Amino acid sequence: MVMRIARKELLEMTRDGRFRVAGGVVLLLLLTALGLGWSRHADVTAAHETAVAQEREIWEAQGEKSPHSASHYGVYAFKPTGRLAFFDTGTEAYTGVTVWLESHKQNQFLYRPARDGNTLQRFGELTAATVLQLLMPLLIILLAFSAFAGERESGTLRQVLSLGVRRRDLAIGKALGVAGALALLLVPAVLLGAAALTAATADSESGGLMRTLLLAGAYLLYLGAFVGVTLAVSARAPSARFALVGLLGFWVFVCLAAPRAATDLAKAYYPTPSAQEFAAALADEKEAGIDGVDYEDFLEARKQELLAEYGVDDVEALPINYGGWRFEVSEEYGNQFFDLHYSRLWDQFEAQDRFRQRVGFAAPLLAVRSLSMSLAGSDFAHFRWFAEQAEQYRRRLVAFLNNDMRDNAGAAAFSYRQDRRLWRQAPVFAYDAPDALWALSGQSEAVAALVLWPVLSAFLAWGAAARLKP
Amino acid sequence: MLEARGLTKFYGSLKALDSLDLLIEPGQVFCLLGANGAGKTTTINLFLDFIEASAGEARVHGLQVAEHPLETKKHLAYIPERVMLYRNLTGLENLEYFTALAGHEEYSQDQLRGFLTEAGLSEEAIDRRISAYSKGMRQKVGIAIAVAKKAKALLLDEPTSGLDPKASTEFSELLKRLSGEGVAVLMATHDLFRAKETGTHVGIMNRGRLVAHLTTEEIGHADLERLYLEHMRG
Amino acid sequence: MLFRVMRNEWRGLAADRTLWAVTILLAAVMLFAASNGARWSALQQARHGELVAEESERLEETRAELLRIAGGGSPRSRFNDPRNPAQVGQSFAAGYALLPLAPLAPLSVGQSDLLPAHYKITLESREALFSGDELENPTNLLAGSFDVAFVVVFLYPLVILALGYNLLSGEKESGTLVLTLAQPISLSRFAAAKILAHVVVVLGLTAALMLAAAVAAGVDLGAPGAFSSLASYFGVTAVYGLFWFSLALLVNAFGRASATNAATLAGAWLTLALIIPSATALIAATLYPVPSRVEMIQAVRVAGREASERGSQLFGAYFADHPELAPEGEVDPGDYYSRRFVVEDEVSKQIAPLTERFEAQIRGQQSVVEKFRYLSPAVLAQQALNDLSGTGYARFDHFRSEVGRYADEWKAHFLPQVFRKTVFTAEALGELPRFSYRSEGAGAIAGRVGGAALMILLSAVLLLGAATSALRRYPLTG
Repeated sequence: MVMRIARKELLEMTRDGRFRVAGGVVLLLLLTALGLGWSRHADVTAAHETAVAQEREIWEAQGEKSPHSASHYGVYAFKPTGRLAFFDTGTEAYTGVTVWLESHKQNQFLYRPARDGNTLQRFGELTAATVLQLLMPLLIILLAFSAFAGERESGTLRQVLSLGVRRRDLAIGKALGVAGALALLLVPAVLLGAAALTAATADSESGGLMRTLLLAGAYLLYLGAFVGVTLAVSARAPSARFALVGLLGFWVFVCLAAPRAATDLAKAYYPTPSAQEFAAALADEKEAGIDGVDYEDFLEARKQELLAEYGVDDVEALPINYGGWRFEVSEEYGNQFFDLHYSRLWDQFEAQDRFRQRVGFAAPLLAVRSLSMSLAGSDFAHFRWFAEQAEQYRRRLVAFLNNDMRDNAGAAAFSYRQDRRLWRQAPVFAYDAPDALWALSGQSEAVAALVLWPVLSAFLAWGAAARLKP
Repeated sequence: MLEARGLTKFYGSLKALDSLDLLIEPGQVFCLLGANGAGKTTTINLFLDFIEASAGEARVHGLQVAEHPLETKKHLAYIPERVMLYRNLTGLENLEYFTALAGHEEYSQDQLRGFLTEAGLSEEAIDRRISAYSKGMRQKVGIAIAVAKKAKALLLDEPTSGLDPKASTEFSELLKRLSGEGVAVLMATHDLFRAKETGTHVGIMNRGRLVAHLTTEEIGHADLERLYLEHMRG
Repeated sequence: MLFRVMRNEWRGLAADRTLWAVTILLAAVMLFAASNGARWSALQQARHGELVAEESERLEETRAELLRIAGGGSPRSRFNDPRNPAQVGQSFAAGYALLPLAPLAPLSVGQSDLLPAHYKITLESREALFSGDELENPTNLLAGSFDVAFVVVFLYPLVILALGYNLLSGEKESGTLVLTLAQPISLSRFAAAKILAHVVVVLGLTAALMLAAAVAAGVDLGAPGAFSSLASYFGVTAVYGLFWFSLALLVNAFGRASATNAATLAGAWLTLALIIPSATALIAATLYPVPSRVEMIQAVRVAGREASERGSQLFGAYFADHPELAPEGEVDPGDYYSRRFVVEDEVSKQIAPLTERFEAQIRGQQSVVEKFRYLSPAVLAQQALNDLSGTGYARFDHFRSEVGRYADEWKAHFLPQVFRKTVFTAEALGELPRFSYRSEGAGAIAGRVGGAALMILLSAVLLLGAATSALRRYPLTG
């Protein structure tokens, strides 16, 4: 019975010119977005690989200099694009692509691609994810707003119910009919996406499949929520027109107003400091020290430990190069402040992102968007993961250079020179991408909201169908 | 007052109205009988210029409808099967609005109330919103609009279908009074009894053609019914 | 008669809960948007204040330090010596170039969250000067702001469509249309009166709310040009509204059912306000892909290494190119700072073709945008509103070129002193070139805004024409 209803719904929809046009447009946009996203992703990945290799070459070919000069010469770390960013570019246009790693300083990332783009990017990027997040729900509304309300107006609902069809069978049948129509659109897109993914993960399989499956699940829940809400409203609305206008209003709230409103509220509750404030606070605290222990005190204490370790009274008597040792101590001193301030800043950003996830309980788009960016590896958390790894690498690299000076420079200070042999031994930055579970771990609220919505909406639709008036 | 000359309407290849010739003088009540789809509503729509004639012409007060769509409407009043009014306005407000649109701004509130009571609407109903009105009450507002407009011709499209017998009788009384005042009436109806009672003339339509045209005086009720069924068969 | 119909329409609107719901909703979102705009511009204002304070404090400290050294003190270190003009130009006196906020800034955030409104001017290369960003959570930038411009560009059309989607279809479905047209009034006059009633209500409401929003957002209406800008802001909004009214009328003129009209209008809104802009952005980016900045950084690194290797050989070529900077007498090729700036100049020259390619691609993208924007009144309106608020791309572009000019001036002031190894003094601190923003001509902004408004109006008129002709074939029956 249910299947028969679903089949009739599907037949009606595929014969409906509106569905054909709208569905065709959505499918076209989805495939275009996937295709162009994929080709852009391939370009960016290739440019990134070239740059990483070239950067190492430049580092090794920097010529003879003191290791400390080399640490000032520094290296650039380039942020790789998220594994599934071709599907959801997320924040990639708004995070810097590179950071300069040098001694003494943890730098900010540079070059947000959006600054090099055109002004229309701010209207939202056309990606497969945005098609699924914004257009698919509209299509669902268009397909199903008249599911009950329209049949009631045309009188067919009385006919059907007079035949003794159970109201809930009718509801399930209609939901399956909509799902079938969506599947007609999603199957080609899923096939294309899967093909792209296979190509993307051919060389690095870790986590890609898991992330894809979770993504598929997230979108099913999200679209399922819209099917449920649409059927519930259609069952209770006094007319098809009312159902449509109400559902469009719901869409505007969820997909258009809520994301921006949540962002402004997030910024109001968890303000972002200005670059100037950030730099000033960092410099002030570095000057003042922690608990009154400033650099001089810090250095003095470490010096006494060092002297005691070697059992000498004076730095001149040390068997190591004191200058090289001191550079590293100053790094250690400074790093405490970078850790403190950057984690404070980034925690603030994550608090903003978490706030947005929580708004997902009111507007499921925010939940699916957060989860989707995260699984695609293009959210702020993944950026932070990279930035922290780059920073750890900076510290390893600078320590390697300072320790070389400490151990090998002897009495020579700045006249101590090193060459390619040492540069080649310097640690290599190997970025270790986080796995799917890590991505999921920061998304607990989004996941909860995304599970809650379809359950609640199914419940509503179920209840509304049970009390369906002919 | 109302005149059709060779009035014809095609919908694609379907002939909805086939060269209708008709003349309704002031004071006459012409009842158009016929099955669903016989062309009754098409005839009324043509007089209202709601649809365009394929051939022939409709005239109101001597003026050709297609050429003077607005001028002719000043003389016409129209009461559809279901008089639909603005739900959020009261009966009085609706009447005021429609008579103003008809070009009669001169009525005082009392006069307007007068039209409504005259049409049979109770005092307390006048200031209630239309959403609380029954079909019969809405028909009465429709009549009041026609009366206030001082229309010289009345186009009625099955005005009594769905009315209870009392409302239906009241409606007939009103029609008789209007025709007595010299109004020409064209009424499409299924109600043979009402046609015989109210009408001065009766026309029977079948598949777009006016197949019989007689005065009610010439004929008894039983004869009308027999005639009607004969034409329907043929 | 026209007025009769309008008045009746108002009565209908007033009796219908939709209008009140819409009014309350629009008022709420306008005020929320205004408070967001107020917060954002206050924040920017405060940031500018901090920068100005930091700069003047730094200059005071530098002056004190110079006087101390002049009085016989010794500098803190070789790398911290304000007598060295290179260090002064690079850090001690580095000045901020600030883009002042326009009076209507609280109404449109525009590009102001993405593009810097201040640069710190040092002797660095231009690429380095322009590469800095304000701190911001990228997710915030992605979502965009809930500002008044957002309400106008996206939500306000929906208000118009929500009230007008069943302009005629509603009357047709409720049966009042036939009764009305049985009166001596033509359908086109009737439709015109109805839409006019909507225009008056919506525009009146919007005007009042916009004024309230401007006041709530802290716009100083007494500031020069503020009131006329606000009037233009409303003018663009009004014209943009006319477009959507015309569209609603056109869709109604085909005589379809209300639900069909609502779906058609929602589809049109989606296409014009979301799909066309993002598809255009995608087309532009595909036609003119901007090379990755990664490539640029590599080019700078390679050019830098080569230039450093050539080192002192570069001096001759450098002063041949910049005779105005050449000091009298010999330049010390061993001097760290002299060498550094000569090398940097060489790097800029080497990567010029790449920079040019970069800019050409961005210009290419922008030219696609310029052409395609006429397809979407939403884009035209957004750009015009940003222009009026001083947060549009063009103003930031102009600011950058102003800053570029100032950076050149700054370099021209310091480099001769660097090469000459002049000893910098406290008096010289008073003679530094300072930045003051010369805004684009008012004509340029008026031209852009007026052009956009005219294009929107033209499309509205075309839609109205189409609606008038469609109304002649309006199917009253069936």
